[in-house]
Amino acid sequence: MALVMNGRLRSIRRVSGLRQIRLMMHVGVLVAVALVTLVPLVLLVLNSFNEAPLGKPFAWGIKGWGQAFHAPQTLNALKFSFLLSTRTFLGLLAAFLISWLLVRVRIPGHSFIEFSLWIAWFLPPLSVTIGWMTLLDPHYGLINQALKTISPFPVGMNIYSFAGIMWVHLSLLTVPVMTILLTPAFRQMDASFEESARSCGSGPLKTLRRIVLPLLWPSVLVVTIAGLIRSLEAFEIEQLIGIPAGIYVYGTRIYDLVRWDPPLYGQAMALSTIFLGALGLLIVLYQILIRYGEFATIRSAGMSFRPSLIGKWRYLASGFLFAWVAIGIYLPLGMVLLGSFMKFFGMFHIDQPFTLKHWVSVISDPTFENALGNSLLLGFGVATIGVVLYSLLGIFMIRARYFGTSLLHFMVWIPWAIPGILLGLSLLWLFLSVPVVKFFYGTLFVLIFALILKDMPLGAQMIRAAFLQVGGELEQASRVVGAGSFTTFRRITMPLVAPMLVSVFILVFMSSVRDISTPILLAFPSTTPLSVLMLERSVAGEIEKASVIGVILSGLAIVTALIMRRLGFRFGAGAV
Amino acid sequence: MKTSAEVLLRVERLYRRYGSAVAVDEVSFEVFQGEFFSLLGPSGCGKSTTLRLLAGLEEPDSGEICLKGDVIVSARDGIFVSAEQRHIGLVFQSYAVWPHMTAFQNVAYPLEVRRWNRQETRRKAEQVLESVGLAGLEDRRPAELSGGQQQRLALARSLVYEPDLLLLDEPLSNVDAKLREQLRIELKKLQQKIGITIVYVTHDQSEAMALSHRLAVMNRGRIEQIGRPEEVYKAPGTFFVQNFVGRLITFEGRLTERSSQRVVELPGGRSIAIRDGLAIANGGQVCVAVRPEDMEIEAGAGEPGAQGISGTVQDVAYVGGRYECAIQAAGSEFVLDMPASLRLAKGQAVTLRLKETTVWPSS
Repeated sequence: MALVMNGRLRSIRRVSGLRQIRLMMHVGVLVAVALVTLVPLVLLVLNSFNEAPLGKPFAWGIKGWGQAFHAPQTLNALKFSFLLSTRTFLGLLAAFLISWLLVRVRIPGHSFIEFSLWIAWFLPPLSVTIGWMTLLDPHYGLINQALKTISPFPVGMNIYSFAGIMWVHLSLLTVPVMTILLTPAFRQMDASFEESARSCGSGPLKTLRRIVLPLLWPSVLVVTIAGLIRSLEAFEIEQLIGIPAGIYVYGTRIYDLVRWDPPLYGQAMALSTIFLGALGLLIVLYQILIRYGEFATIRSAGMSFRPSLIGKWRYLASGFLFAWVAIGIYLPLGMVLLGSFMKFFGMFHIDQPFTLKHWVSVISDPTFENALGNSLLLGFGVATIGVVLYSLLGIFMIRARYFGTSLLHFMVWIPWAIPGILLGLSLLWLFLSVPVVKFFYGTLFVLIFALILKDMPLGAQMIRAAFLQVGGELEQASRVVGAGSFTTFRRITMPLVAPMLVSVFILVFMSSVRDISTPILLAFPSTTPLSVLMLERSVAGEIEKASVIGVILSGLAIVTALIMRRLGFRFGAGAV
Repeated sequence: MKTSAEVLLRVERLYRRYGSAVAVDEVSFEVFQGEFFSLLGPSGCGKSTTLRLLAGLEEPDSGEICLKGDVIVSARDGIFVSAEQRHIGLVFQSYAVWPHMTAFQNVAYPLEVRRWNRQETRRKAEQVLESVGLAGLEDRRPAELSGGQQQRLALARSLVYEPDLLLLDEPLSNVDAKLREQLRIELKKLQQKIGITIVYVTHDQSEAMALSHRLAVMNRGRIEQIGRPEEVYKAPGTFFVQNFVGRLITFEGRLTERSSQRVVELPGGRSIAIRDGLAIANGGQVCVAVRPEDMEIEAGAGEPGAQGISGTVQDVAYVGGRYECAIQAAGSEFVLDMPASLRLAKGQAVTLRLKETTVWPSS
C-alpha cells in the first residue's frame, strides 16, 4: 500500500505480514541455538547409558556408570576436582582486596599491576606451568637446587603436588580472572558511599568491611560462582603436574578414558554427566544472581571518583603486589624463555648450557609448520566466522520479542560453563555418530565449529552489550531524521560498534589459538594446532621443544594484551 | 492561538500498554499549524511514550494519528508509517548526537539521507548551525561540546530538514538553571521566527506555561485537561491539575451547612464559607485548595467568629530581597511570602484571609 503525502510517495507497511516473518525467524534461531548447545549435551547424557560400542545401535544399560564408580581413579578424580575447586574462595579473598587496592586506594603502580593480571589471563597456562617445572622440580628445579646449597637441612618444594597445582592455578588464573571481573564493580560504585563512611569516622578497613563489601555483595557472589565454574574447566595444568603425583581431576580422567584402546566412552560420559549436573546447579544459581545483581548494582552518578588514602600502607601493599606478579607471572615466564635456549632444561651447571638448537629443530620440523598453519587457520577462521555469527546472535537477542527469550539467553550461556574437555567429548560423539556431519570428522572444520561454540557466550554477550549501548536513542535519532534501517546500520550503528567487534575478534583469536582442552579430543595428527602440540611435546618429556612453542604462544598473548590495552578495553562483570 | 487555524496533528484515542501497565490511555488531542503545544505531567505519566508514538518509535495498541490530514498510524487499519518517512523532528532528552561525527556531520546527515547535493547541504547545514549559535564549532565532536552546545546541536539536526512537526522531549532538563532560562527564551524566539509547530514534553510546569500556546496536563496515562496556560492555572478541571500546575496550599475539612450557607469546618474550629453548586453531600471530607497569592496575612489572632483562619508563625527566613515565613494553621503547614509591611517574628499569631478557594472531594 502506498499513499501520497507531502507530494512524495510514501510506503506503508502492513503490520501483520511482517510479524509472521519475524515469528518464523525467531523460531528458526531458537531451534538452531538449541541444536548446537543442548543437543550435544543430551547426546552425552544419553550415551552414558549406552553399552554398545561406537557405530553400533544403541543398547540401553548402566555398565558405564558401574565401571566408572568402581575405578579408584574416578573416585580420586572426583575428590581432587572438589578439593581443588576450593581455591575459588581463597582467590576471591585475594581478588577482592587487590581490586580494592587497585581501584579505590590506587596504590602506586596500579596500572602496571592491573596490566600484568591481564597478561596472566591471556597467557597459555601450559607455558607458565613449564616455567614452574623448571623452578620447582624436586630434582633439577632451580629453586630447589639453590635451597640445597644454602640450607643444611633437606628442604625443597615439589611442583608435582596438590599445593603445586593450587599455586599455579591461583597465581595464574583464579586471582587474575577474579580481579579482572571485580574491578569494574569497584569502578562503578559511587565513591561518596565510602567517603561518607570515612567522614563518620570509620577507618579504611572498617569501611571496606561494613560499606564496600555489602554494597558489592551481588557482584561478589556472581564472580564467585563464575570462578567456581571456571575452576572446573581445568585441564592442562593437572595433566602436566597432577598426573606425575597421581592426582587426577575429572578432566584428565576423561581424557584418559577416551584415549584407552578401545576408548571407554560409557565411563567417560557417565563421569561427564555427573559434572554436568553439578554445573547445571551452578548455572541456575548464576543466572538468578545475575538478574538480582542487575538491580543491586550501584552506579556512580557522575565521573566523580577520588581514591581513598591509607597512608604508608599503600607502599607496603604496592610492594607486596609487585613482588607477587613478579614471582607469580614474570619469573616462570622468564624461565620458559630461558629454558627454550638451554641444551637441557634446568641444567645450568654444564658447559655451554645455552643453545639455539631447539628453536632450529622446532621451526624446521614439518609437524610444527603444520601445527602453526592449523593454529593460524583456526584463529582467523574462528574469529572471522565467530564475529559475524555472534553479531547476528547479539542483535537477535536484543530484538527478540516473543516467547523463549530467556531460554535463548540461557542456551547461549551454556557453552561458557561447559569445560572444553566435555564440549570436545560431546562433539566427538556427534561427529562420530550422526550420519551427515560424520563427513567432517577429522577435518579442521570440527575444531573451528567447537571453538566458535566455546567462545559464543563471551562473544555474543560482548557484542550484544555494544549494540545495546549504541542502540536506542542514537539509532532512533537517525530513523527520525529520515534514514532507513540500512543507512542507519551502515552510518550510525556500525561505526560505533566497530571497536567492540575488533576487540571480540582479537579475544576470540587468542582464546582459540591458546585453547587445549576443547580441541584435544577432536584433533587429528593432521589438524593438531600449536597448543595441543605443546602439550604433546611436554607430556612426551620434550620440555625444551614445548618451551619453544610456549614462548611463541606467550609472545602472541602479550601482543594481544598490549593491543587490547591500546583499544582501552575493559570487561564488565556481566561480560564473563 | 486562533482556533480557526488549520489542524496539523490529530491524535485520537491513542492507547499503549507494556504488559499489564497502561502507559498511554486513550489519549486524544489536536495541534494547530504553528502552535507550541506542551504535554505536562510527572515522570511516568505517559508523556514521553506519547511523544515516541508520534515520532514512530513505538506502535500503539489502538488509536489513530493524522498528520497534515493523512492517517500515519491506525492500529485498526494496520497502517504504520515508519519513523524515517514521517518528516518529523525529535530532540531527545539525552540529545543522542552521534559521538563519531562532527557537529557539521551530525547536521548534514539528514540532508545526505535525503540526497541533497554537496553544496546545498553545506550551505544549509552551516546556516542552521549559525542560527542556533554554533557557528565556528562545525568541526568539533560532541565530546568537545558543552551540554548546552550539544542541546543546540540536537536542535539544529532536527531543524535542518524543515520537518512538519518538531517534538522536544524534556530538552532543558539536563542543563543548569541559568542556562535553562536562556535556552527557554531562545527556543521561544526561534519558534516565533520560523513558525514551526512544536510538541513539547516536560515535567516543569513553569517551563510549559512560559513556552506554550496550549498545554495538556497528563496523569497516569490520561490527559486531565487541555487549555491555555491561564485556563489551566485559573480554572483547573481536577485537583491533580491544580496541584501540579503552580503552588497550592490545602486544608482538610468537613463539609456542613450552617444557617443555609455551606461551609467547610477546619480543624481548630474555624470554618470557611464556600460557593454553592458543589456536588458533594454534607458531612463529606473535603480538601480546600488555595493559591498562595490568594491568601492574605494579617498580624494578630483576630476575634473569635471573625473571618479567616488563625495560625502561628513557625519560622522566618530571609531568601534574598524578601522574607518567607513558615506558617502552621488548621492542621497544615506551608510557606508564604511575607508582605513587606508586616514584621512577623517566630511564634507570632496571624490571621489568614482566603480570597479564592476551590473545594475538592478528599482523596
